Amino acid sequence: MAVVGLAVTVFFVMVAFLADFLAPFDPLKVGVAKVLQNPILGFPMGSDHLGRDILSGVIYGARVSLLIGFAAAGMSALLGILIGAISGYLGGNVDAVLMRITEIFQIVPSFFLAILLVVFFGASVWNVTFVIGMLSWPRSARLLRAEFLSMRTKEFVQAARSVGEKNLFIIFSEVLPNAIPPVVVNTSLEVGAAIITEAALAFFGLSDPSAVSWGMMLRNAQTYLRQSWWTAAFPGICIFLLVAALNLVGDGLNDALNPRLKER
Amino acid sequence: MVLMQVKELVKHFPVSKSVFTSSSKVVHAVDGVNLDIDEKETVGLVGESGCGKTTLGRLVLGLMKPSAGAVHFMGQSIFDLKEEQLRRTRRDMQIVFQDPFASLNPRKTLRQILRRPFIVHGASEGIGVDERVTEILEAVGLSPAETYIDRYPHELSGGQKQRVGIARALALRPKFVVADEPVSSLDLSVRAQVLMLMKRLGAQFGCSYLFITHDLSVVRSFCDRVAIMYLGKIVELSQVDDLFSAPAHPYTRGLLEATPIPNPKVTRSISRRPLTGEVPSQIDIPKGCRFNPRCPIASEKCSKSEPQLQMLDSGHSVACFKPNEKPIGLFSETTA
Amino acid sequence: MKAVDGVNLEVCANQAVGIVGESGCGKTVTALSIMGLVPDPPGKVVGGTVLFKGKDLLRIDTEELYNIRGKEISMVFQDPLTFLNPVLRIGDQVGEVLRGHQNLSRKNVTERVIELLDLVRIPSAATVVDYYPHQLSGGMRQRVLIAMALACNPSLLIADEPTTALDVSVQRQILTLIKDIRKRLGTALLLITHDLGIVAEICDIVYVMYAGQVVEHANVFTLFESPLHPYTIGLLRSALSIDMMKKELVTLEGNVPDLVNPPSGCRFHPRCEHAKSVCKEKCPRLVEVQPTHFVRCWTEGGE
Repeated sequence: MAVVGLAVTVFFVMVAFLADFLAPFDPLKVGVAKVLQNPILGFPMGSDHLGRDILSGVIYGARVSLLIGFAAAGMSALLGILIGAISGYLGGNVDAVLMRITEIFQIVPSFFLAILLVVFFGASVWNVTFVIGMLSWPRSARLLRAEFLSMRTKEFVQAARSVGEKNLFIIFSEVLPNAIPPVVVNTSLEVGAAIITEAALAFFGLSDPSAVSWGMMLRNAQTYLRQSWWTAAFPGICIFLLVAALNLVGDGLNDALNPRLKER
Repeated sequence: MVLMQVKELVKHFPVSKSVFTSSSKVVHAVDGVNLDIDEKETVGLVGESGCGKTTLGRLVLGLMKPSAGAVHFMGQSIFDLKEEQLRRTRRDMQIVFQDPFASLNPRKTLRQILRRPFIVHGASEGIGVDERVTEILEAVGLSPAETYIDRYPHELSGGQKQRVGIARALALRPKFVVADEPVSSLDLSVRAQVLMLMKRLGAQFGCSYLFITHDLSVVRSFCDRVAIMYLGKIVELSQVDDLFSAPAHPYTRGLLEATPIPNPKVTRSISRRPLTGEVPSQIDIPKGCRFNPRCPIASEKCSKSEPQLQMLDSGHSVACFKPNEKPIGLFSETTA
Repeated sequence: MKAVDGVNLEVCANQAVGIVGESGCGKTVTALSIMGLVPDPPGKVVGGTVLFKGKDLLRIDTEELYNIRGKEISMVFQDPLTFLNPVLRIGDQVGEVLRGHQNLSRKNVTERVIELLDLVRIPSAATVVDYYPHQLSGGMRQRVLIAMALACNPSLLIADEPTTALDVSVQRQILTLIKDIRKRLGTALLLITHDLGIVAEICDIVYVMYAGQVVEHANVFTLFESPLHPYTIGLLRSALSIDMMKKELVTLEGNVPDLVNPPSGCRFHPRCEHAKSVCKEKCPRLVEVQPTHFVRCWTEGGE
């Protein structure tokens, strides 16, 4: 199943990569087709209320979704790992302070924060990525911190200290490789979550208007959904497929990474 | 020459009952220990669970900070050293752990694990680090080293993993090694092998051992002196043969009588005075002598005041008001 | 991988039989097979019979097996913590064994539970009945397990490393308890352990296992005084003991073999000082070289 997920993900990545070659039209170009054209030859996914080709929109949308998804998840992972590792290993006051900061980010209603940040800083692709990343790092941090707390007392860590290793080395070279699997799995799931969050933001009109995303397409499709199902169906299906595929990959990673740790 | 001096070492852990009640109770892990270890000497530290031996082992290496007391290693008080100085002293004091599986990073090869001590302490003058790794692998019997050097810990047997642990500890020829139950999780036939290895290398490199264990049978063949610990204190300290032939403290005697001997004729003929009850919690230490509630010869004095460690004529140091000073014929048949 | 390869074992009524061996020798799997407790998958009993009072335990139906298990044959394991349910009281857990096998009224069950806890010398049994496992020490928990095993007065008690996780002084108490119970109830005992001292104390007959096979078995005194198999000899010689006057350690070289690819012929031959060419080619059979003393070795008169 994970392989299926991986295949689908790779498929979307290829589509995003080759968007310029695959898309028959510029997705933002108005009037290339009849308005609300239902799917026919030439426009296999139909057109929206402004006569824009949906297929092209879906293809370019893949690019935006994947970009934001991976970038946001990557940022969240990096930040989460840094904070989680330091907090979990050093413990004490450092841990207390860092955890309070983490909690602040967790308590704030994330969506409000997102809206606020976008309203203040503008809605470009990078801002959106930044916002989503900022909302999801606490989870990675907590996961990693938990792993570190349990590993800290393990004997191979004490052995490293007794050999005379510096703390930084122990954190990154000894403990991290062992503690990271849950974070890897979580990050793969975060990609899917980020894509959905972006779609949600776009749905509220808060995403980058110059970047065609599936969420934006859904937004536009709202009013016309009843008569023109294709305006919402295709972007919606794509979101579903990609996120489901990413989840399968995440499950697969979980299975692959865990048994090795239990080897005796 | 005295290598390590432990002076009135104390380590208490706070007991946190709940968020709402502040507890003034503590776990008395180590409660005032004095011990001197000479160069090239092997001292056994014996006790049951809850006696504090593992904590003591961690304290003397500076892996934990004490609540009170001092540890002097090669003349320096290790708890007064700055982090950097302590790290450099680590070159001369090392540890071998009980669980060979947990003490090796499962994601590193032997080569990666064993290179670290050399790299950290910059001890690769002359021949390269890899040569030193090969050397130490051969020395612990993992020969030919080339077949082992790139393996992962999970590819080795328990005994082999423990040899790697020993290799790591002895790589830099330290002066002092704490061995925390190094053979307890190994098979019988492997125990003797690993002990022999530790003995041989110890003699070759001239290092002292603090050998922590709960098993008296291991101590007899390995140690020069033995300290018996109970509830955070040393209750008896003597030369090894003297301890076994004439245990002065009733707890020592109880432990000896409790240990089964692999010889049916002998073990079935020993008259045993059983140790009743179990080791009390380290939180509520009995008043007076800590051992008195379980002691078969306890008197009233024993429940009122705590005996201090004192030297007897026989050369034993005992913390007891009524120590035994005569040899006990514990074994009706002794194997020679 | 054959964890157990052709093991013959006999326990007579009231007898204490010990199985000694190192990790991977198959002793625990042998014991689990008797009770039909080998986890399947990954393990499977592929041959042999287990005769208990005339019935083959491997071939009776599940209903009957459940009747025997816990009632006529019961087992005590190494780690009491994992075998006691942390959220049930002690009285309930011991009572469960009784209720499962006997029809007793509630009052009778409680009485019997207290009786059993007294039998295993748990002080203030009437109070302990209401305790949870975490309120008891390791030694006490092990006694509870023994009480549960003895609840229905079994004819055979199988104990797998019952004292390994315990302190020396507690171990001594449990050993005394086991000896005492055997005397009082006449229960037969199959004791699995790697500790030669315990075997020397409790057992009448000893089986030595190596790489899935029994390599020697004899009366306990005979085995310790005149062992015949090179493995047994090596094991006894390298055993550490508190009455060793010498500080010389004699070692048994080599490692326990891999059971996926066991050595050809006699499985011990790579580590044996006396190995001959026939040892590499053919695996010797277990032969009675003296009355009740069996050895699996070419040098000792196998054919």
